[in-house]
Amino acid sequence: MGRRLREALSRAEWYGLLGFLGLLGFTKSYSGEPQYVFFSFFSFFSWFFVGYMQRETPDERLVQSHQRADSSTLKFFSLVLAALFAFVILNDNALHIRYVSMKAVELIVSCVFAFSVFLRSFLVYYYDRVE
Amino acid sequence: MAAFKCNLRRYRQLLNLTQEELAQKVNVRRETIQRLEAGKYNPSLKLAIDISRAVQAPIEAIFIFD
Repeated sequence: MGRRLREALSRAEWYGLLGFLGLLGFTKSYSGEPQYVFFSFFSFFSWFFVGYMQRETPDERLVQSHQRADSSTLKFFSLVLAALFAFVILNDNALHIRYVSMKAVELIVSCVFAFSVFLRSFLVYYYDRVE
Repeated sequence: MAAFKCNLRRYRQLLNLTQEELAQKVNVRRETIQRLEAGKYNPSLKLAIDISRAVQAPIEAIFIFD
């Protein structure tokens, strides 16, 4: 690992590398079952965005950025719930799917969890540093 | 956010303060002072008063709302 990269990342930002454990989600267990739950490890990539805050004393603008990010992430959750609701209604009327694999549920829950944690951290960074 | 003009840079420079020094005086981060000077952040009343005291200028002279 290069010296420049070591200097660029604080100790907290190194946790971001745990996000690569999410790649284990593409592997299969000994019994041949997919292990989608590992996709939730992708949420650790969020440390790359919020790690720098460990070095700073929070002020009112950072608190405000957190609140805005929370609000936007809740909107994302609302969209996911709306999609779920639409699926249930559609399923009753048109799709008629009677069996949903537990692995499909595991995949969706893991991906939604990882994405929402990542989205929140990215938005905090965006509101605080970019916007 | 309400549009406003911010004269903070002028008053800060009159006192020969850097953004970092002013930030330490009012307990915020340097980026917050930077955003304030660019008119991209609408501060709380407490922060506005703290800044006004730190740069020894009235609030209405520092922050000018349309």
